[in-house]
Amino acid sequence: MIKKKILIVEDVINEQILYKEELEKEGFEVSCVSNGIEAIEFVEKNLCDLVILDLHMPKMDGIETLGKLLTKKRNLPIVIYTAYPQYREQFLTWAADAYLIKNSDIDLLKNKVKDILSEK
Amino acid sequence: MVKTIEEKCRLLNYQLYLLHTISKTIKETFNENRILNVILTGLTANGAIGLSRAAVFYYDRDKNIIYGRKGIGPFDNEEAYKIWSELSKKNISLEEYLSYNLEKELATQKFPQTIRKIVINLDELNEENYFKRVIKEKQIFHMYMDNKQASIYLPKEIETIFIPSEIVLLPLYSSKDIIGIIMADNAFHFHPIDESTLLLISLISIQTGIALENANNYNIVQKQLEELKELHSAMESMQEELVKKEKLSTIGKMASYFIHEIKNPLATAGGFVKRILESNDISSIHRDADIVLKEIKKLEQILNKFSNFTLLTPMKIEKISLLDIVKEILDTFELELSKKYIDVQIDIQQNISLKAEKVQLYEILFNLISNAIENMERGTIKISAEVENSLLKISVEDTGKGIPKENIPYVIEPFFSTKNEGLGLGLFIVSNLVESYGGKLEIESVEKKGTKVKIYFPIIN
Repeated sequence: MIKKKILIVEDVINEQILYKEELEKEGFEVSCVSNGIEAIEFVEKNLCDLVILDLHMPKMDGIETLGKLLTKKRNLPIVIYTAYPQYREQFLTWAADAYLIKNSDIDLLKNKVKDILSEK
Repeated sequence: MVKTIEEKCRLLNYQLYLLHTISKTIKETFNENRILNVILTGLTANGAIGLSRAAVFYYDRDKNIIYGRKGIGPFDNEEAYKIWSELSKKNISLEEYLSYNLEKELATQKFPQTIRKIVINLDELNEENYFKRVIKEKQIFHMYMDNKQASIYLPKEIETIFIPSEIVLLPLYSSKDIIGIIMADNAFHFHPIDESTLLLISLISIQTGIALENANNYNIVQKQLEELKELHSAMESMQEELVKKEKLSTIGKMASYFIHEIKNPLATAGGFVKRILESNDISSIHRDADIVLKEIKKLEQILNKFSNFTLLTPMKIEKISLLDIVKEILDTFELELSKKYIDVQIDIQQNISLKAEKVQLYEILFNLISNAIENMERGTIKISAEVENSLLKISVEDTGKGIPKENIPYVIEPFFSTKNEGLGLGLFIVSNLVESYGGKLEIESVEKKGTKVKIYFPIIN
């Protein structure tokens, strides 16, 4: 079986490590980038089945990145994973497949990712 | 005959001295009450002009009335004898006499008290009445009057104080118009009022008018000054109010950032702890625990920063010397500066000060100086201040590694940091604080050359 490919867009290294290793345990192939610009570059050059997107990042914030990613790949599933609940109200974030608030229980993220990918 | 001329000369000389002393005294004061005291005392002083009684009336043009303001002198023979015999015992000089505080005596004597109660309606007077004529013809009138004449030519309100004698009525002028009447008589002692005395009185009345006008102008200016002062303090408190409001909105903004930024390390630490609980591999447990520790340290840092962040403390704005606070901050970096061979140049004048909360100003300058030090190894930090377009410009310039061009727009964003340590909050806090004072922050930087951070404060006062 071909492993599904996940891109993590997150500027904090420790968070990258945590999500990457946890998702790898679930049998995904995981790559990490630290900002929106790198994320767009990545999806242009690589195959990718799902993006996990932080909102507060330097250089290009998550919302702008979300828009640009979807312009490039209209059907790319995106999970917003952020500490900030207030952007849920912003319609630009509605284009994402899920909006999750960061939590010490990684299972919530894992389950959401599995759900989305199994539907596809 | 020779003796008479000599006496006349002496008298004239004395009168000149008198005029000089009185005008000098009233020019030195802007107090209306004091001016009137000097004039009336001068007119009635024994051995000066020697009139028996004198009073000042003011003219109210709008209401067309004349009202008594102040009078000096005895009411009847008995009081006259008492006052004059007491005065002759004292043997005081004219200057002393003029500076004598009369208020207590005036409050108990009948003549001054009666004068104060007099209100004359000019509309009710006939055309021959001297009070009306002084106002209308602006002339001096001098005449002897008995009771019968007084009943015709003087207002009835004067009757109670009238004693058959020589009476002088003079107009009191300001530069624009007539403002009142001086009335004097020679009751009780009946020393004749001669030509030279009349001339002297008229000169004094001119001086009085000018002095009263000056006093009035002075009072107006004083009042306007008071109003300006009130306006100024109202503006100051309004400005403080604005700063406070700005501060509250900054608190809201900052709190939101802080609260949610705590969530990040918290979630990460929690995630790793969960892994530790599930793992059997000692080396990965070790690594994960290390990450948890780092995240907890980050949490601590955020919380420390937040509780140190003085936006939450009560507002206490004070005048702070810029040079003093800069020196205070540099003292805390002394060791680091010498370790890194950094030279500090200060170009701030001692008299430059600004109104701010000290802890906040400290936070601002501390962040700028600490950034400069962190970004360099050997070199110079230049701290200067100058006034530019009514703004106080403070700049901190280093010769450090500078900021890459593409990063410059992001350096004031929260949690932007190129350092491994640190939260990336320094410049964010600085720019928010500076903005809360209505100021702004500018950054110029060239990679490998250095960075110059300029902050502008509006000058209060």
